[in-house]
Amino acid sequence: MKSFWRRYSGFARCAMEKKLAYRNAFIIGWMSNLAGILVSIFLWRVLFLEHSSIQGYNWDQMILYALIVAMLNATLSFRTEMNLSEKILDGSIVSDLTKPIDFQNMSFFQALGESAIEGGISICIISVLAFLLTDLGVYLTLVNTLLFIVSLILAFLLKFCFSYISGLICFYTSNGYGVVYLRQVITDVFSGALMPLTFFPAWFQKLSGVLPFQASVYLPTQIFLGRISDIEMLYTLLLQLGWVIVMWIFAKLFFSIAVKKITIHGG
Amino acid sequence: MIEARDLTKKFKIPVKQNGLSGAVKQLICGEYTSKTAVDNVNFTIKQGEAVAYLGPNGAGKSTTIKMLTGILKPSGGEVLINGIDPQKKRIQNTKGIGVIFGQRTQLWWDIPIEESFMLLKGIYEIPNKIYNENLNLFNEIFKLSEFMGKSARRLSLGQRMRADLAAALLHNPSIVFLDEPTIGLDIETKESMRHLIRNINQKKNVSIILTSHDLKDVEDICKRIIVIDNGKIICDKDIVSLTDEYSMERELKITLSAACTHLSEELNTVEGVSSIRIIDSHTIEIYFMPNKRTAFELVNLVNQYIRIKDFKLTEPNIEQIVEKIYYSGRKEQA
Repeated sequence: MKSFWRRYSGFARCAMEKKLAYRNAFIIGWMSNLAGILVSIFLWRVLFLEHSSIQGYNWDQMILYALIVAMLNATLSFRTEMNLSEKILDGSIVSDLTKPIDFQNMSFFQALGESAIEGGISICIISVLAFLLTDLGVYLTLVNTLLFIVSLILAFLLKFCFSYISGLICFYTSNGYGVVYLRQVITDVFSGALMPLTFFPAWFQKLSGVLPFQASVYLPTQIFLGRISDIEMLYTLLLQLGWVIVMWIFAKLFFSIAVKKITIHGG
Repeated sequence: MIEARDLTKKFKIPVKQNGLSGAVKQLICGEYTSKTAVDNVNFTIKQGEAVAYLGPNGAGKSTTIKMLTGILKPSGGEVLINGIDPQKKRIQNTKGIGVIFGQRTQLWWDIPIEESFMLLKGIYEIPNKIYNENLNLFNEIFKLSEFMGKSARRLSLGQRMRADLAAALLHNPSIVFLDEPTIGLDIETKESMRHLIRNINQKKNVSIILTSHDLKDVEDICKRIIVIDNGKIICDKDIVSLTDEYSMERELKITLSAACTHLSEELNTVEGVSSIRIIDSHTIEIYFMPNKRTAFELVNLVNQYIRIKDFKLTEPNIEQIVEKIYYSGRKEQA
């Protein structure tokens, strides 16, 4: 375990330094995030002028939902899989493959390092917004907060797996953007990142219920908003954990097959 | 020890017909041909050997190196590095090897070199003692301390390559693969890189597999040459026996103190002299076979006629030999 930490923690450290080296890119990225958050807040505001609650969500819950989604989106951004697909497409993956490290673990620790910075700042900004816009204190009970943190960690692991797998698809394609864009559309729709899944028709809810994506966004929001009963809580967290294990193992298998496809010409 | 047995790599290449209709056809029912980049290659490299793996551009050098380092999966045959399959046991294999691809860097682009090195120290679990020893040695030869605090993006090519080579050697690998390590470097940097590579080869008995188009690298570092062309090995010999085999005529250029008129006729009759070229009234070039006539004898002979002002002896260099091997390989295939 100690050896594992010694071998991989450096990747997280270097990724953090790299993230900090690109301060301006990060600030600009956050400005577009903020714009997105504001748009969704204004949109909900209009709808809530006529209704006191929509599909069982009151104003506070709706805004907190949007803010949690924004926080998750800003943490582990699409840059993670762009990095990966660039590595595969320009061939610089060879220098990782000539090192005694597991590629998935390495990618994970890099994502962890980047996300530590992204997530840290996101939590600060989102907390301030949540505090200003909603009655945040009601939801911040000790048990609820702890459960939410556990759920967030599982959601992060799952998000990493989605990004990693979509990055690996570049072993088969010769362009990264298309794959990343497709992945983003799929996760946005099925994870509940656009709006709560209960707003969708029943057949869609059924479909997204059997897919892994809801476990990366929708389930954590439901835990935070207290919309999951105590009896269902354990089931919800185990469902998240189950998906993490399944996707992690799937990613491992996928890599071992995809890496044989590698073709690097010249150089 | 590195063993390659019947090593083969085929690439699938899409065949596209011209124009838009060709592109559509390719999209619907793609046709492929296969190109054999490496074709039934066999060799064994013992621990501590320094081998140059040469060939014209596109001959299959890099593809072979990528199979030896476990990046590419061979289409046929097998590779064993110290008895293990580098592709199946990639992580185990990579602990003991160091790799340089001269056209890429393994350093992190945006963070200081120091930090990249610390990352490698962690990855390979290098003990402090070895890490510091190596860093001191590299520092002595490469003057790394001048740019240890800079990020790789801010280094000159020479600095970056020095840092890259040091990075590949930090963990005391027993085999080092160098794929064009001196490409684009100035003479001084090349010299210091050769010095370090020779040093670890001789003092630490590290095996070296080098590809380079700069044959001075080969001469300075390697004792054995493997030449590959069109995926096939066309020559595998040590340099000494190659030089003997291709013991070509040498060239003796003599500057005389006075004009020479009859000298060439005199020399033409001497055994071992194959041809004479008169450059101008005071300069003459003699081509001779060194096994029949020594340069010393020739100089003496000429000096008896006219006093010699200066002379220069040119030995056949490795470059000419390799050129001949490429050429004869091409002729055989044609």
